[in-house]
Amino acid sequence: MSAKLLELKRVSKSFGGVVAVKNLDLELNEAEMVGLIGPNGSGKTVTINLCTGVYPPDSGIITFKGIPINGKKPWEISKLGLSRTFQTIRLWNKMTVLENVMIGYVRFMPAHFLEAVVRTPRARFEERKAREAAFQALQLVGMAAFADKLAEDLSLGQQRLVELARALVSQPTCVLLDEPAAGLRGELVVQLGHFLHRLCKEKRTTFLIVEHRIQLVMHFCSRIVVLNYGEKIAEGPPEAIKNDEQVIAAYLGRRRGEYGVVRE
Amino acid sequence: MMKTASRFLGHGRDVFAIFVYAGILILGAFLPRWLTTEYYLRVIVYAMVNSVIALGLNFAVGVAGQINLGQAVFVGLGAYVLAILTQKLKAPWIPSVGAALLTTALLGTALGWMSNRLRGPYLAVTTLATNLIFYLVASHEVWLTGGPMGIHIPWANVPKVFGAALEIRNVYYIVWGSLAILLFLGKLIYQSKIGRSFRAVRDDETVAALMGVNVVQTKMWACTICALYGGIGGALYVLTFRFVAPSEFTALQSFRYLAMITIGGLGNLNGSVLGSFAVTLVPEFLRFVQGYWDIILGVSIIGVLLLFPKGLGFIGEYLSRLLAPKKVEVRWTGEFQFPEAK
Repeated sequence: MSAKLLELKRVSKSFGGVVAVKNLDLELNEAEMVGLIGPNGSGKTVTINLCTGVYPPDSGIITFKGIPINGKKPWEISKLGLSRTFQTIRLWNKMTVLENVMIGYVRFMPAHFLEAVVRTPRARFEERKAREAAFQALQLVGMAAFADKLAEDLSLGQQRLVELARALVSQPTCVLLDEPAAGLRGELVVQLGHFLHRLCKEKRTTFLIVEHRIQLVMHFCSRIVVLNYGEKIAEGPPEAIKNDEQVIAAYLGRRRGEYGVVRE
Repeated sequence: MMKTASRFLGHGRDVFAIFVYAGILILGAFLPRWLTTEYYLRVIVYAMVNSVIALGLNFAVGVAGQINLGQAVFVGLGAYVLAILTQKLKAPWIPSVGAALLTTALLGTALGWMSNRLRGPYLAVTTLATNLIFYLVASHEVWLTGGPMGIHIPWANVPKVFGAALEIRNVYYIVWGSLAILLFLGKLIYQSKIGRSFRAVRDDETVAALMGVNVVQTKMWACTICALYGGIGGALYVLTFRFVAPSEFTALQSFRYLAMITIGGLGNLNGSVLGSFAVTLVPEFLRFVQGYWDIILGVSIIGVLLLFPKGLGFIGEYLSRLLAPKKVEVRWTGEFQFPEAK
């Protein structure tokens, strides 16, 4: 149960003089939902970028399934089953929704380029499987009816869901979600939470959720990590985080709402 | 559910498009019989050779987003290697063509390697520099390339195909067939997973890499395809004109290829053919205005791009948007669905 899936050991990263992440230790276990919160600029997205290989860490070790992944190319890491979404939506606007999701499936398409061009039976089979998988992933998030639309024609919330489908199509063991609920309307945020929770329990997928909607994180995550200025200031179950003095000072604030969050 | 699934999974064949392609193929087959003037036939063959070259360039620039301002290098390399091997070394034609294509493909892979290190304007300037170097070598290394006089291939050295001399009417069919095959092949590449990867790399390289696309390999393939099409174009050029000279492979010529794919529409393969015909034929028909045709061509390029900002190849899209009735919007249910819940 508690097999370590993704592990960061004393990872640091700085850009010029700005220290984005400092000596960060983070562990994700199998089939676990972990929340990563913190004020703006506290290094949450940088942490995800480090894990997925956008840039290498300055120091420290990142292992995924026991394999060290610092310095590996992003596509090599993706092949291991680590997937992600983006804070600002980054779909390929000129492609259809289905094509967008199909690219996420490329991990399971080993046929050579030339095979794909002359359409050998193996390549055709692969292509059909990719279509089916992409369509199923779209059904999962309820976006199947939009499969043949261009990604740029969708609304913000719909694009978020397509991104989620693109992250899930590769059947990842670990998904790093960068603000999955930003731009979704209220009831859908709850649905999303239940959906992720169910995936986590049934398919044993691990989620790391970076989110500013504290309700989502407090409700569904079993463990929460709080960053401030690139350093981990607290880690623990939601109840403990809610009452942590340091976290309240740095992020949550004094005026308590229902879940210990400042009401808008 | 199965019905909607099959609607998206099945390849919808566009009957109208098939009719258009068949019509153009038949027209192409009979054109040499109707065109009695050899001059016009030669111009059309030249336009088709340019189409092949532009198709390749479109793969690098339009589909995969790797700016290449030196397509003339690949064309020139294909043409010169073929001409030097067959004329100076008296090598047989078919292996020479193979060697020419292999050389260009290798140089294309080198360009792909460069495109993995240089981005955007830097890649553009580097390819431009390559073109300038190529022009200098071609015009100064007289022992190899014949210098500014180029290499002329006498009739006696031109091979016979099935006993027929390669005069322009027969070359027409070779070029026409090559263009048809290469356009079809291009469409296969465009639709396959590698074509999808090209487009993904063009629009957002970082995300493509993060989603599992091997960006290094993808760029290599894009540039190799670009070079290979250019090399084939160069070989066809030699067959058509039986003459190679450095003036045909200048940086200006590279920009002309770029104009072709821009007018035709970046990323649109049919458009590249349309654009090549436009850029090749219009100056020929404007010969009566002599020195002014450059101005007219420039103005008409601006005009076309103002009218059709995405390029001529997307005319079908404009028309269908004008003519097609408004589609009924799909209502979004906004439900997460698990398969077993159905």
